[in-house]
Amino acid sequence: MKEKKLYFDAYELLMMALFAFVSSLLNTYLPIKSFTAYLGIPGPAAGMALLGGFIFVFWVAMAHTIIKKKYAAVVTSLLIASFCLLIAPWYGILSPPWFSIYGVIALLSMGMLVELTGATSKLKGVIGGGMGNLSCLGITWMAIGVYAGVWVPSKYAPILVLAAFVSGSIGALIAYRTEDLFVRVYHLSFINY
Amino acid sequence: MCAPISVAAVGGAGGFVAVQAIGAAILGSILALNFFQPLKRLSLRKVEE
Repeated sequence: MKEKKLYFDAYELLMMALFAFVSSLLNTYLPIKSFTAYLGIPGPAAGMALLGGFIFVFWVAMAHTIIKKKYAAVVTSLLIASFCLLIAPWYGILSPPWFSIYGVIALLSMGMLVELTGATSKLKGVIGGGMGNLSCLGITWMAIGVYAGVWVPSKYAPILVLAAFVSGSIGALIAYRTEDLFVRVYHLSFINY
Repeated sequence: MCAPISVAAVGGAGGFVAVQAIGAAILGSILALNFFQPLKRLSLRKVEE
C-alpha cells in the first residue's frame, strides 16, 4: 500500500488554519484595548491577560484535542503567529524590525505547553492552558518592556498574572468540553443512521 | 490586543514588509515540514523505540 505523503492531511491542515485564522482575526480586530481602558486596567497586553484564553488558548487546545496528533497544538500556535504577522506587526512595534519574533516565541511557548500538558490528561491540559497564556503574556511583557520601555505597573501585575492563568485555563477547559460535545453529537448521529 | 501601544512605530512600510516576510516564512516552513515529513519520522522513531 502506498504510504501517506503528508504528516497532517489536507483536512487537518485546513482545520488548524481555520482555527488559527479565527484566532488571529480576534486578536487583531477585537477592540480589546478600549475594553481594558473602559475597565481602567492599564497595559501593556492587558487584553491578553484577560481574554488570551478565548483568543489564543481555546483555538490551540481545540486543534490539539480534535486532531489528536502530535504537534497539532504547536503547529496551530505557529499558524496563529504567522497570520497575526501577515496582518499587523506584534503590538504595532516596528523598531527593531525583528521585534515581532517575540510574538512567534510567545505563541510557540503557549502551543508547546498546551501540547505537552494536554497529551497527558485533560486536567493537566487545563492547567497547561493557564500556564501557556501566562508564558505568552510574560514573554510579551518582557519584550515590550525591554524594546519599547513600557512596563506593566507593579500594582496591577499580580492581578493580571492571575487573570492570565485563569483565562488560559478556562479557554482550554471550554475547548475540551466542546470536543466532548462534538464527539457525543457525532456518535449520536452515527447511531441514528 | 495587537493594537499599537503608545510607542512611535519606526520603520514604516518597509518594516512591515519585513514582519510579513517573517509570517510568510513560518507558514512556508510549516507546509514544507509537513510535506517532507520529519515530524512523522520523529513520531515513528519514538514508537519503534
